[in-house]
Amino acid sequence: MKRLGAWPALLFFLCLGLGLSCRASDQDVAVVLSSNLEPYQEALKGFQESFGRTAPVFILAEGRPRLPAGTRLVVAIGSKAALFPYPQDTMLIYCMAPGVQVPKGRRNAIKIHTVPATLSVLSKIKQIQPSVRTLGVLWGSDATEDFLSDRTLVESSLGIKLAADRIRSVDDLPDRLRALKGKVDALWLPPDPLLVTPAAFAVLKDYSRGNHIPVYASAETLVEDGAVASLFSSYQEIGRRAGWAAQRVLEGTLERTAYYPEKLQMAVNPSFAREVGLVIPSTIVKEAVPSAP
Amino acid sequence: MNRPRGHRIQCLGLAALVAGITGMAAAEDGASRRQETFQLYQEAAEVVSAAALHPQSTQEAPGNATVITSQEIQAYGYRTIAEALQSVSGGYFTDDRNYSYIWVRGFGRPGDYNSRVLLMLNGHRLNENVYGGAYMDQIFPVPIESVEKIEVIKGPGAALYGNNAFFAVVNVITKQPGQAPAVQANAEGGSYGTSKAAASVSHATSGSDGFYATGEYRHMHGQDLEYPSFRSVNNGVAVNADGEENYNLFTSWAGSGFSLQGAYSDRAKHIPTASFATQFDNPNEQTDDARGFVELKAERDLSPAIHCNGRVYVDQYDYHGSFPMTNAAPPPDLTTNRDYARALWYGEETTLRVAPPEAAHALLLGQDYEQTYDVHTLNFNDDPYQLIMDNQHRLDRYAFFAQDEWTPSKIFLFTLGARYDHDQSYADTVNPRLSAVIRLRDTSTLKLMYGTAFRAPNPYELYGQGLGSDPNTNLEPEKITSYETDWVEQIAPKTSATAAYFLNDIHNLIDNVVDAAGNTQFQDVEHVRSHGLDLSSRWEDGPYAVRAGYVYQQTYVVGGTLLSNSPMHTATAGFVRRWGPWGTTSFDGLFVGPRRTLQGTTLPPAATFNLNLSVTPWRDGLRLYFGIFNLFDTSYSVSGSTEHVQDAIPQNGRNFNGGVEYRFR
Repeated sequence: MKRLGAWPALLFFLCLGLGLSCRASDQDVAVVLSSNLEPYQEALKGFQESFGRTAPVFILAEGRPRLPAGTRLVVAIGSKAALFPYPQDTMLIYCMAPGVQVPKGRRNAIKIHTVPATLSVLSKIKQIQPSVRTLGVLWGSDATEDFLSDRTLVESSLGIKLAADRIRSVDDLPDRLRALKGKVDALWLPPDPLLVTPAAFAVLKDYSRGNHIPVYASAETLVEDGAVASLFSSYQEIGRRAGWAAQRVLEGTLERTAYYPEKLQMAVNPSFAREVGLVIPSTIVKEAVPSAP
Repeated sequence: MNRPRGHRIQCLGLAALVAGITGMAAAEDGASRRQETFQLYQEAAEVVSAAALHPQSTQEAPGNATVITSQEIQAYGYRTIAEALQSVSGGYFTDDRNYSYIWVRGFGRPGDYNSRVLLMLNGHRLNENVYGGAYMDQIFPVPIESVEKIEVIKGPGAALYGNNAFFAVVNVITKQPGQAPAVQANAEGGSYGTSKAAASVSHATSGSDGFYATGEYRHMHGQDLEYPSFRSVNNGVAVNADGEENYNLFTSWAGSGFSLQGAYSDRAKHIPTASFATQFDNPNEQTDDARGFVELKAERDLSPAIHCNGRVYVDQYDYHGSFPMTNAAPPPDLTTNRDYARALWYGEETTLRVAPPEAAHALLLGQDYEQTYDVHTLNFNDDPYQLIMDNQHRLDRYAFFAQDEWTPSKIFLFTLGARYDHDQSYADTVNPRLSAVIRLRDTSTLKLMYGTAFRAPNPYELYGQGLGSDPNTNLEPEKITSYETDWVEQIAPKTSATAAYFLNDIHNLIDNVVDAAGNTQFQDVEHVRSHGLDLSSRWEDGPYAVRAGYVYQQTYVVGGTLLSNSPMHTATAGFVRRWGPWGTTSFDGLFVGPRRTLQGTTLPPAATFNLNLSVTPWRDGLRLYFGIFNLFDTSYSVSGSTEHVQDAIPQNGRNFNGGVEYRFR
């Protein structure tokens, strides 16, 4: 009787302790979305799948997020959410925020990039266009410079020379494009807010068509705006990577300040490719996501 | 006989443009996946800072906000800030051949030097301290090529900015070192013997830190202009009396949380209208305006939740007018009236913004102090010497302001603010602002706004004397109480539509009237009410960009008639086609309904259209541009002011401007 009486009590306190610790752990993490935009919701879904636990979700467009007391980690989805002034001692993981640098003065922030690492993107471009020798890379924001850090590795392992050219504003685009004419076999646009605008793509589309220079972009729908192909990660995949990073942060096993999503997807526009004199191999077309025209 | 036909063509053109816009807008079927991509990338791009003193999207700003970008300035070939402001619904500028005046939502008083609009350059107040003037023409101290964007917030802004923020706040943002090319040079030529050269240099150390300097020189020979009111002198033609010459310099430096900016502009303009009862067809009638300032600003994030901002500045304004007049007691037959004004002022401003992440409130506290230590106005006839006015004043003012942005729920954003202004030349004034931004859906926002503002009588209105004008030291500030409801549909980052209803109640409207002695004098004469509907839309997709705006308004003296110079209808529309990397074509138009002149005649409606072409042809860094303004050579006039004999002053007919731009990286 005596031994039986002690075990249930111990078990009860153990469960209570576990329950409390699980509860506290759940409340450690909060998710903040810039708005209810569908891509952010998809990223949230990916995050929740990967993170495996529930976390309170706040929509910045609906009001300032009131983080629960004791929040140790914020996962920000979207540029505005990433730039929000969270308490200094809160860890920040941000994604779906192309062009956003680690906020000024914040040391404990981790960025999840919007597309996979340069080497894997350019390997796919090499498959689509085996003849590519020199690839023009246009970029503008400081944050995009990360994509050029693998430059030497890309050049040695893929045999693609990168002709990187930074632009200061969209006004520079015509000049920069003209300067690249005859010097590059194709153009790649890393995810950069300065270049992903209807106006910039209107210029790129005509340039691509007029000079038979294929343009490769970093967001699925840009194949409708003049890119022959887009190499990207799904929004859900980006969210998954954020969830993976959040788990590692809580475990204390994360080492770097920036991570790339792993799964690469591809959208192609075969008819536009034909217009610029590029025949995309049928195996590649089959591999592409079906949303492409 | 030809004019009515011309008007029909212009009206048909405008109708076709509006119909096209409507059709295209209808074709937009909600926010597509493609638009979502652009929205994701441009999330933080289109923001305004002037509405609440911190960056906000135009959708959430507590005011009717519009942003004019450098791309639009380039595509539409705008030559001045005033021309750019015509693209905002209800915006219309007029030129009395000396200064440009901007109307806001159909309200404009000739001769007010735009003192009912607050004009800022990178947040620095440009309205000067003699006439309250906000010069948006060639006196503006930055070349138009160096403007990155123009934020326009319609509605009163006195709760944050105090004096002059009566009808609107216009904040012109220059290019930052990281945005501008290392060197840029422009050379232009145009109608009326116009030539212009502008250049800028930029060096970025990191991000937007670095150095930027820009400047321009411009000369216009002008036109020989005919005024039937002076038919007895040289058949009413003023020869060589419309010339203009100006230059400006602007420089900025930013680094380590500090920024320094300084600007200077000087413009001389000959006046062909024989204003202020001067001798007609005398090319010696001219004004010379010079404006300059230096400002040092520091910004610090004390913590992620507390941002503090401080600045000190020194400003200067100089004016000199020469007015040849018939001598009442010859000899000599002619004397020249000299009119001088000079103001030197310095001041400081500090603001503290506290926005704790967990709180529903974001609080802004601020104060400013300014001393105008020398306002000197001098007026005399030079031969024989006759002193008419010699006034010197020192003016002090200070203000405290506070604003709370309160988000009690997902749907509401309330902005509650007030500012107390003390100025020794008029009674203390407190101006509140209340606004509710209600997010009905992700794309739909309803804004309910209430606010008051004031325009203080300036030294010119209080003490001005000479050339048939009398002082009036008993003037009270004008006061406006404004109510506005806006419905904003933000369909995509660059696609939006806004419908607004506004009601403005203006007390003590200061107007220049003829007094019992036959002289002009500024008086608090009228209680004026203005209400109307303001519709605007923007749409951009691929190579096409379209904008359209329409304002219907009625402004009337309470218990009296419709206010003069106040058209019920103004409409604006524009279309841009980008031709890949090769250039742009734009076509834009402006319609102004009938309006009464100060002298009581009615001016007919007018529609003007402009066509602009920009080509980046073959060489790296080169751009050629050419524009035809008032394409159909519409004959139209604007109301003269009290200093004019003419009741209507004709505006420019068809004219051209072309230039070449070269950018070095």
